[in-house]
This record gives sequence, C-alpha cells and structure tokens, in this order.
Amino acid sequence: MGDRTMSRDTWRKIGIAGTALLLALGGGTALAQAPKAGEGKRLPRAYEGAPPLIPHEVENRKALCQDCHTTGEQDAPITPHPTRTHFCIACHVGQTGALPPFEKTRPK
Amino acid sequence: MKWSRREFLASSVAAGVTGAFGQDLLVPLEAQAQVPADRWQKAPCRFCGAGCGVLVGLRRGRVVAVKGDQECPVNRGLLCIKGYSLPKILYGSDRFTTPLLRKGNGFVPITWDAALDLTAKKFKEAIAASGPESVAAYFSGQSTIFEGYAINKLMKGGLGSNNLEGNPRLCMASAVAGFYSTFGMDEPMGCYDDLDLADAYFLWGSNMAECHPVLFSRIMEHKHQDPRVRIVSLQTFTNRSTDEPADIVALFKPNTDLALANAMAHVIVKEGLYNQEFVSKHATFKKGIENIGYGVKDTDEYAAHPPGWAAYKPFADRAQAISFEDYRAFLETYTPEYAAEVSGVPPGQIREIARLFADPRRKCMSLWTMGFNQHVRGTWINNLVYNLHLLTGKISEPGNGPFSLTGQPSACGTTRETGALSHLLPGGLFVANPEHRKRAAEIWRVPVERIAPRPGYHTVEMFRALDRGDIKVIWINTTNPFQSLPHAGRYAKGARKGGERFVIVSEVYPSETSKVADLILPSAMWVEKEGMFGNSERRTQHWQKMVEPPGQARDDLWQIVELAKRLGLGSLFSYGKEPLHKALFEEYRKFGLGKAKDLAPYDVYVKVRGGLRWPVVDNRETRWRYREGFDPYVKPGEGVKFYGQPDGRAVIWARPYEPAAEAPDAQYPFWLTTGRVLEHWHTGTMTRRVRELHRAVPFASVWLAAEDARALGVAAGQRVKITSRRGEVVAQAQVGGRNSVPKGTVFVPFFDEQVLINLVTLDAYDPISKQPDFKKCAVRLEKA
Repeated sequence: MGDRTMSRDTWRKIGIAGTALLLALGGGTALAQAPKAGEGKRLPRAYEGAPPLIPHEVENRKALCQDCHTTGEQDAPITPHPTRTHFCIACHVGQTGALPPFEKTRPK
Repeated sequence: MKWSRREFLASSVAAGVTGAFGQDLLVPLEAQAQVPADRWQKAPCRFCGAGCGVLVGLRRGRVVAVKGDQECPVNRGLLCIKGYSLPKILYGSDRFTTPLLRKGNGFVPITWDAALDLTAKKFKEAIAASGPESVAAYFSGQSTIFEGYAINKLMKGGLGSNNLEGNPRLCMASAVAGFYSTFGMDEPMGCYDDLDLADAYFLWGSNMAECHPVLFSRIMEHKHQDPRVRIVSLQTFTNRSTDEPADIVALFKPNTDLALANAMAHVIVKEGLYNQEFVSKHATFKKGIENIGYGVKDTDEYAAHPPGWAAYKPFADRAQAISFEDYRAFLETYTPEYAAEVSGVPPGQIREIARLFADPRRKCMSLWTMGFNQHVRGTWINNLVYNLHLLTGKISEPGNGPFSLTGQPSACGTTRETGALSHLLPGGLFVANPEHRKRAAEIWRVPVERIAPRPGYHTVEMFRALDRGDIKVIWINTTNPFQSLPHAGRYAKGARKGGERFVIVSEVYPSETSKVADLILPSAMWVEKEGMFGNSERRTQHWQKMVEPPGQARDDLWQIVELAKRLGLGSLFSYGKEPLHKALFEEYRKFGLGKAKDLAPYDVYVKVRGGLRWPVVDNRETRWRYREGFDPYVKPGEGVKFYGQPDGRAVIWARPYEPAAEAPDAQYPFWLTTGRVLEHWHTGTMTRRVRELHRAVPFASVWLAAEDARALGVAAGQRVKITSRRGEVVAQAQVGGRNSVPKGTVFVPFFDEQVLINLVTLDAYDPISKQPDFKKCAVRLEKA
C-alpha cells in the first residue's frame, strides 16, 4: 500500500510513458489499473440507468478507484456519487473481452 | 471526453476495432438502443437474503430495466450488480418453455396434462407400493411464501409425508438450530437498523463485502461518517471484507472459531467485563452432548442399523442445566494462549477483540453467514456467539445484537416461517408435537392422523435414500442440488440408478439437476408470477405478476395445485371465489397470530413499499424483539424477556472446540474451502446468462497461496487438478486478486458447472442442524 503515499503530481510527472515500466514493476498501483492498449473505451450499458461497466482490469484493485475517478486522472470518468466511493466494485464490474453468451458455449 | 454510445460505436467501426470488445459491434445498433420503461412496479430482488427493494421497469410486456427502490428501507435506492442485472435473468435464450420427458439420453416435449398426469401417477404408485415415506419434495429458499406454504400443506396435510426439505438445509439450518436452542424461537431479534447504529462490527467467517454488498455498504457508509467505527474481520483467508475495510483482521484455522469464541468469553468473564445484572436476570446455563460425530457414515442416523425408514432415528441433542460456576470452570480451558495454539490467532489479538466487544461504551453487532452455518458444529458456533452478546447484555436493543445473514431471498420467509422442512409445520410448530399437529390439522381442515408424527428425511439423508432406492419419487423445485449438494457426484449418480426412481425437476434453465431429471417442468420466475419473500430481518415483501412467462412455462404454485387435483387433494386449495394467493396467505397467517409471529393482512403487503418486519401487531412492525418498548409481546415493566423460552431466559451454552470432520494429511495436504463471488449467485444458472456478469467472472478459479503455486510449478492462469477422496475437478489457478489464501488452503467458488467443486467436497454435517459443511475438507493439488 506504500504506493498510495505517492502524490498525484508524481503520477502526472511520470505520465503515460511510464505506464509500461510501472506495470513491469508490479501491480497494486493506480497506474497499473489504467487501461491498457485496446481497453478503456466506454462500454454499452445493460440498459438505461444500469451502472457503467469498467473497461479495465479491476480484480487486483486495492482501494485505488478514487485516485483517478475523483480527479479525472488518465481521462477517467469522474464519479457522480462521491459519497459512495468506498465500495465501487459492488455495482461496477470489469469485463473480459468479447465472450460469447454462456448458454451458447455450455456443453449440453 | 464525453461520447454517446452511437458516437463510440461509429468511431470504433471507422477505426476497424477488432479488439477486446469488438464483438459488440455485431449487435445491430437498433438492438442496442435502449427502450425506456413506461411503467415501474415494486418487487424485492430475487437473489440474496438482504431483500433489497427494486422498481421494475416494464414496457410492452417485458422487463427492460430495474432501479433500486429509494423507499425500501433495506437498500435506500442502491443495488449490487446482480440486482442491476435482474432484467436479463428472464431472457436467457435457453429457457425451458415446455414440459420435457426423458427419452433415452434426450428429452421430448409433452403437454402439461400428460406431464402432470404422469407426475401424479408416479406419486400414487410409490405411495401405494411403499408408503408416503417413499416420496419426497425438495424445494427452495427462492420459492415464494405461497409456494412454500402450499407444498407443505400438500405433502404433510395431504399426502401424509414429512419428506419435504429445501436448500435452506444447506444454508440456514444451523442458524435455525442456534436460535431455537438459545432463544427457543427462530430468527433474529435485531434488524438492519443496527447496521447504522452499532459502532463495532464483528464479521465471523462472512465475506459480507462480496456476499451481502448492499448491507456491507451501509456499514461502510457509517464508517465513512464516524471515525470511531471499528470493523473486526475474523476469517480463514483474506478477502474484500478484510484488507481494505477492516481495522482488525484475525485469520484463524478452519473450525477453530469455536475455540476463539470461547476464548473471548474467557477474557470477558475472567476480567469481569460481563454484565452481571443482565446475566442473572435473563440467562440460564446449559451444556449438551459432546463428541457428536459428523454424519459421514451412511448408518449414522440409523443407530448403526442398515439404513431404511424403519430404523431412521436422527441424532438429537440433550440439554443439561449447569450453573454459572460450571460455565466458568468450562471456560478455564479456553485461555487466549490455548485458543492461539489451536487457531493461530495471537493471544494479544484475542484479548484486544474481546475487550473491544465488552467495552460498555461500544455498541456491537456480530454478523455471519455460511462460515458459521456450513460447519460441522454449526449449531454450537451460533450458540457461542450468542453467549458473547448475552454475557455483555448487548442484545435486543438499537445497535446491539447478533445478526445471522441469509443467503437466499426467502430462506426465512418461505422455508423457515412456512415450516417447509421435514421436522416443521407453519408458524414455528413441529411435526413431533401432538398439540402442534392438532393445530395445523384444524387450520388445514384435514384429519389430524394424516400429519405424520415422525420428522422426514433431512436433505443429506433424503438424497442418500434416493441413492439406496428408498425414495422413489422426488420433486425438485427452484434449486439445483446436483451442483450444490456436497459430494454431489454420488447423489447425481444415485438419482440415475433407474428402477422405480422418478425425478421431477421444475426449472427455468438447463442445469446439472435438469440433466438427471426424468421429467422437466418449465417454471415461471420472479415477476412472471405473483410472490412474497421474507428477508433476513423478518421483513415480508410482496410483488405482483408483471409479465407473462415464456412459452408454456407456468408458475410453481399452479404446478402444486394442479398436482394436488390429480392426487385427489384439490380440496386443499379450493377457496371458492377468493383469489388463491390471498386465500392461502390469510389461512397461513392464522398460524402466527397471537404467537409473536403475527403477519399483516395480505392487502397491507400488496400496498406497502419495502414490506414490514414481523411481528406486525395493529399494522405496526417490530424492529427489536424481546425488548420492552419495541416488542408488543414484552409487557410494561418486563424490560427484556426472551419469551421463546418457557422461563423467559436465553441460554448460555458450554460448547467445546472439536475438530473438523476431515483435515489435511500427507495424502491430501490442503484445506479446501468453497463460497461465492459477488458477480454470481449460487449455482450460476441465472447470473451466468447475463452477459455483463458472465464477462465479469467467466469461470471459477482456484485461489492458491503464492508459495503453494510456486511449489506446484503453477503460474496464474494455468490449470490445476483438485482431488479429494470423493472426486476431482480442474480449475485455473489464481494467486491474489480479490482473495488471498494462506499457505496450505485453496478456495474455489461453487457457481461454475464446468468446475463442479462439489464433486470434491465432503458430505459431513452438523448432527444437530443436519447442515453440511462445505468449508472444510482435504484435497491434493497437481498441475493439470
């Protein structure tokens, strides 16, 4: 969790070019959560009013959502409900690529 | 950079995106366009026991959206991602839409008339040849209150068979046995208001952040506002309920929660931190039978005789009164040092947790789910946590109380309250009690002799009896036992042994259970029918039928009533001109009126957004039971009265630590524990058919400790074979992420039918509650 003590300015200075290096150094940082190439595009919602889906990795998230989603860092959408930021992944979930529907692939 | 969906899609197409999410482009834009709902109607969510209120958005006969109901006090407008996915669970492309009869290895469509006639014929033949104990029904904590009450009446009051069980036996039975043995009455004294009013929360083996996310968010919201709030998380591995939100994390070895809870009591008594006045006025002390076994042997419930109905004599605990001094002497063993040795939790931490709990300035809430209930000593560990609340007097008042969370939307409302288990009758009555049978027979207007006095087979024994051939016909409804039973391989095989066995399965989607059916009945689900659910905090909620089920699918209450007619028992459900749902509910209400289980009239629930918590007396709900000023059954001047017990006092139980049924050894050196992930529910039949949830968690992984993965030569994402004495499965390895397991332990969620972890688990159960332990068995691992 030591990474969290780095200021946002530091992150800004490192910039996107440093992302690959940081990823190589290991996860657990806000920047490691940042969308990789081909990710990060907003995904269609299940229906109007459904929570937005997360277009990047979240399984290894450790209390880092707010680092970008309250500031707009990395072009992240800013949360419209800032008092509910302590448990984001109860409603917003990541997505693994273009999997076909479950019922089409389950063995009969 | 704000883009509309249309712009995003257009730009993606222009850029020729074939990346991770490219396939969405294959769906025509018109199909992706959202249709706004033109009508919103109330319903409870159909997943866990939290009982969140939703507003269902309807348009042209379809459910097109949901939103959290701001007026439902449970969730105040919030839902978890499973709740937000409700519209899509109805519209998987492989819904059952017609009755299907087995023909060889496949199924052929038949008419409802043919299906129901055949079902009735099989029931009648089995009863004529082998008696009412040869037929069974296995229902669900997802059945509605109407359905639970109706199947109970049909089985016990109609067919004279007490072989009615439900999946809450796998989920809640230890909580029920804990409530009865300590308080003499089922279900929590407190309610969700305590989530906002306590300031110290003790999570026992419950990954509440994933399994009850909306309730957990109430604690987190409270913690956000009040820096004094402490969360103590007692777990067997770290997870989303430990690392981020918890202030104190105690990691203990499987089954040693018994020693830990006793050690907390030891500290509280030894250091004089208990509430002397409360204990002397409101508690008694008891001990029960010890070394009670694990139910793993087929002869365990038959006094070592060959298994069969005549010899069936399930274990029952015997209580013996003891004194406070005896209890104090019992606690002598459980020093923090002894508990530390057993559990691995440092003695200093045990003292710290006990002192926090006993601090008179603190309001304490204990919360648990399957870690306590799916436990070979589940009844005991429920008793032991009540001990802590009784010793300190922190119970039955705002902010203070033990709270048993439930995993199904109506395990409480349906299975527990309508008495849809083999030993129960509606309203907290028991089949073994002649007075209770008389009362049920009067309300049901059936001859009292028809209600059998012996409890039927409990779930594990029911499926063992099907395996042996003693149960010939079983109707499985709204549940998926051949994925969710422990040691499921044995029981699935048993169901397909042929002979006179006939397995009827009412389902909505193909499952591991419909696979072994002889007859599949297509059911309506959720808002395709009228229903009522009862949640964890005694809250009863009603919803109307909103849309038609697909094809010929019919609701389960209709199925029960039509079967009854064909069995010559149609009179059980004929109420003249009165609508069936209302008539059934008004009849069911009679069981609880004046017995501290009062429910409001049917018409009230139809109107009230968010439902009401029973006992509902004069249309007022009850938040804290057993406490004067809150509970109408406690008279002025009584203060606190545990009126479920004849002497009005709750029981502090001396229950020892005993080890698990199976522990790692040289051959099978790892602990296996099973559970859930937030995105999927139970066996995944509904949630996996929702695209967003399937893509969020496409399969069940096996979580390994980093050092174990290294030793096995397995990297994350590689395949691992998990083998026990019962069976094996292969799963992808995961190291870290949402869960981190200690060395020597693996965790596998049970939602995935391709990773059928219950082929591996052990069918040991708590001999008192008869609930199996899915959390502890021994496995070995190999790179696959």
